[in-house]
Amino acid sequence: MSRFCKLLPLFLFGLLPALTFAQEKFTISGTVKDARNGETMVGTNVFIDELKKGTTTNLYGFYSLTVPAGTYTLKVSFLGYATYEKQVELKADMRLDIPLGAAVIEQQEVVVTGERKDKNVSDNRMSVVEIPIAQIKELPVLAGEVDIIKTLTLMPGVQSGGEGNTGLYVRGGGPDQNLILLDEAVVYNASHLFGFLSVFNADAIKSVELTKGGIPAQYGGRLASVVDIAMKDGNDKQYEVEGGIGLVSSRLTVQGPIKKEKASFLLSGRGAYAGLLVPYFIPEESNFQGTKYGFYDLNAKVNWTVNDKNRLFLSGYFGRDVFGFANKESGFSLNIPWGNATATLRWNHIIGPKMFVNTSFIFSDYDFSFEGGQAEFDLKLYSGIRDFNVKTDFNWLPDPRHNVKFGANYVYHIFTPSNAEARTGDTQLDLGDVTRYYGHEAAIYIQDDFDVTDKLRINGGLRASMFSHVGPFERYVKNEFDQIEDTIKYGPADNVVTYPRLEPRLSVRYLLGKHNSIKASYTMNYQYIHLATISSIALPTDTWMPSTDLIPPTEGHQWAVGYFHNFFDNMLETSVEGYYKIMSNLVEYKQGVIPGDNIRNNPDQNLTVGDGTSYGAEFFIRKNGKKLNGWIGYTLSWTDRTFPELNFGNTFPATYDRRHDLSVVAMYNISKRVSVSAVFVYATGNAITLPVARYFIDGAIVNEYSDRNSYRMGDYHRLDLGCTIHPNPKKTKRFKSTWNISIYNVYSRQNPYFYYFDTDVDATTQQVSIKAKQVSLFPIIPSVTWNFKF
Amino acid sequence: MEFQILNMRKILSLMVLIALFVSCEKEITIEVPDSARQIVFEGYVENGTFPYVIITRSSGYFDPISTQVSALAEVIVRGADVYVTVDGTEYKLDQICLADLPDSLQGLAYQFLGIPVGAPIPPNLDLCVYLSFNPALTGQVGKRYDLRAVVEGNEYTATTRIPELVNLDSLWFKVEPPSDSLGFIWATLTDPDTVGNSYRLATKRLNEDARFLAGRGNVSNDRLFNGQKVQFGFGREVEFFSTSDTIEDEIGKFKVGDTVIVKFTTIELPVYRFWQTCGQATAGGANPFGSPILVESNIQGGARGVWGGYGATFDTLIVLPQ
Repeated sequence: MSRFCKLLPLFLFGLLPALTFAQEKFTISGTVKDARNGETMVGTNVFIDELKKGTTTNLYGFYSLTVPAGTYTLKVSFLGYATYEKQVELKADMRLDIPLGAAVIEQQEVVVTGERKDKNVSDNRMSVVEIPIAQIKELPVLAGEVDIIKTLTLMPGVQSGGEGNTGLYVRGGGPDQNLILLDEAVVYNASHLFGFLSVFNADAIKSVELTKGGIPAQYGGRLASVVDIAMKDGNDKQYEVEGGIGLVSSRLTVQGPIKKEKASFLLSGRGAYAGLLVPYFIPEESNFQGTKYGFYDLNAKVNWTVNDKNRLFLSGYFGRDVFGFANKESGFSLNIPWGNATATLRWNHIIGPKMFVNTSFIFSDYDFSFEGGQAEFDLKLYSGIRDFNVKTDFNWLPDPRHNVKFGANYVYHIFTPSNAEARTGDTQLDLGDVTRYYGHEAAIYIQDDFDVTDKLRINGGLRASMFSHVGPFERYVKNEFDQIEDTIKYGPADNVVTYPRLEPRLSVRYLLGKHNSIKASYTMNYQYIHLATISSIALPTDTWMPSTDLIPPTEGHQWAVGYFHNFFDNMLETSVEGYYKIMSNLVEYKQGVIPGDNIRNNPDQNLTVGDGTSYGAEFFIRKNGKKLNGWIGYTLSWTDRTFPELNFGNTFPATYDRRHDLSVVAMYNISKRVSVSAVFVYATGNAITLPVARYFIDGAIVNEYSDRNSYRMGDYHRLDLGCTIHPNPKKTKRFKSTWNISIYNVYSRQNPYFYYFDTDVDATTQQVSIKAKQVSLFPIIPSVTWNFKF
Repeated sequence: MEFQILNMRKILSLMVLIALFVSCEKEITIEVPDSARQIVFEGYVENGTFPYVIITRSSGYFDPISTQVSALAEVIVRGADVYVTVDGTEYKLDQICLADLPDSLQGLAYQFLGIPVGAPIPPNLDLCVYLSFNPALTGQVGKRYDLRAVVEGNEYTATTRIPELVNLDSLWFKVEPPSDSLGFIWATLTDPDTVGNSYRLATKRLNEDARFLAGRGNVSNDRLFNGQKVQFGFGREVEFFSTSDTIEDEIGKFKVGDTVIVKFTTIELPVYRFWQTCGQATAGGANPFGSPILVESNIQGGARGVWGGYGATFDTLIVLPQ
């Protein structure tokens, strides 16, 4: 008894310190940067060995870990960089900024996934596609040009529209359903050259990430996907120049410090040689003189680290395409200038060790003009969209189990849907006043990445969004004969219609073992602005329209489930994902409308709404290694549309209903000097509507068309090969150059671009026969690009 | 370094040359289902004249088309029952076939159908139309006419009205340089204040054209010029079966010495929509950069074509040398 009494106080004393320490938690936080150039590092793993707890840096390189006081080994790692280890004694909240140095390796640029090796298994975000920029640069897509958007189409679930089309078709969604962000600014038409190349210059880009399902609550406004592209910040330690000269375009990027380790800049430009690519898509028999084509892209960025809690970034993009075409024989001329401009001002602020906030002010503008003439008749069609946007995003990390994000977003839109001016001889035709639509779009959201147990992580979020169509606006109320019954006039800022909406988001990840997991997600979202397309080929005539009292917001629901398994210590990543989507209030042009006719007509009266369904399975295998890298992606999918006013209300396949989509990519480092790459793609042909019958009316022949999209164009497949040569890999001189030789469409398959019909008259029998002809765009195209860096 | 750049330039130019030599067009075959055969109505009721309907069948898109008159004979539908209702009373139209007509009238009938004077007519040609000379059915301005037809066991209906007449204000001819004898005819029109006035224009050259030719582009609607005075020009439509219109320069134009009768008709909106979409569907075959045009027929029951009321006014213009 007495022994027990003596032991008890000792026991209590022993417990006391443990009890005290268990209640005291402190936070270690800071920013992780690349030691060489000061670029913030996204998605870097920050781990405390002893506690087996960790986190990853956010989009601005910020991390935060709240743990009990103690002495720990902090390990920071990112593939391609040397692991950073530091002993820390955590007695109070601590700020630790970490520079990561490059890994000392034998070969040239390491081209492997730049994330935690098992990220695809452990990350609870599913349906996310990341391709490191270094890998994208190894895969030229057309005539030696490197393209971020086109390379994304090599991933399962992401389809390209085919040749001559940089639209992204993600899981059956249209090209307007992707939120494409460049440093948080929305880019409305991410295409050059009628869609052969995108507007993104890979030299200026730091990272690109595509989310095709399980979209977190922080993103909204587009149904199918989010393409988040971050520009490089600019080397804040020394000057760097890189560029290249290629067959289609040339590029130059300059970056450097304005004040060493305090402020830096980046300036990047790319320009295409006018007219050089034009002969590739004009048939030989034509005599088109006066045809010109050119484009340029400019990216600029400046950043300033005000103090250790505040950082400012100012970035901008400006690009323009000009296409001119003339046929002197028929007196026909065409001029199509178009382009995007964006500007973003961002302010990062570290509120405390657990909270980070970013506030952005964004301007975005897209406009295009179509000027055509034939003899005495001139027509000018123009349209555009302009946004003024303010948003703020908070990131709160109360403890390692929770990663909370919340914020607000407001956009003021000014739409100029097709407006037209026409002149015949000396008469100016009255096609109505310039029509503009004005709208307010706003949202607030909250989401939490919650580690319920060691195996189960849930990301739950709610987004409350709304759209308001406001005046000045004149609504023509029409009867069924298309005649005006009434005109309602709205003054400036008068509310025409408001749509408030709630968007719940949920995704779940369950770790089955160390190397495999199962994930599921549900996304409900709304899209308030729509792209109306006139034809099945992406043209600048596609115009952006807001939701109005006639056109409600598009609504989408997506369920996705997937199984992820890595093998051989993460050398081999595999996954299988299935998805099911339903969309309502999709928008299409009514049949036979002429956009630009605004006489007593509101542009949205040319549109009709309908529903869509999309479902499929995506299979993916990726190998990461020192010598051989690559992946195989295969998607099996169905997507259809049902519009009461089209195809007599019958369901029809969407134009991009591609039953099979296969991509095989391989990159092999033969030696330090030479690496080769091969890309093979295969896709089922697009659905099209063809004429099937004809009849006589008043002595002339009228054509009759099939059910909408009931025919298929031929299958699309091609093989590209590429080779990169580093002439002097061991040279330690500052000036480095590489040669890239590529062959596009190696076996020169004539992939269908469009079909047309040629009439042939036989003079003797007086018989006219109609032949169907297929036009293809790109045969085999070899090219050489020379890249340099110093 | 310089040596490398020089080599690169050589390689570049060679590659561009190679790429330019390849062609990118080829012929393909498309399978068209047989089921695309529809009944097509072409019906007219014009003020001051009798109503008539031609019923044909559509054919497959890739079937060869003959520009000879026999092509029309192959698609004409016979044996249908056609009725027109006006002022509450239904009247049956008579089927009149070429073979039934006395020789003296056959010539007129050919012209009526658009077979020009002098065109080779195959033997046993049997074209039929549905019409009635019943005075109760003579077209009158402002009246509504309903069509009902039973073809091969299926019933089709349509309705139309002859709108109020509108006259052209003036007509004149203008030569088109460099020619000094060929050109277009110009007209001025004052559109009435009402919304939705639509028009169709046809011309007939005396002693040259067997009938009025309107083509498919000569329709207009007052959306762009309601209540205004407007000026427009038009050319000459060519008869599909014509064998005499051979001088290329003269096609589409009027010539000094022609006496042209201009028929300017008012039509109701659904009839305008039909001719407008018809014009779009016949112009230029399948334009890959546009969306396929569905011709807006005003026939109910699954057939194609039009049943139209036309309020016609006539003017004559003698084309004089300038």
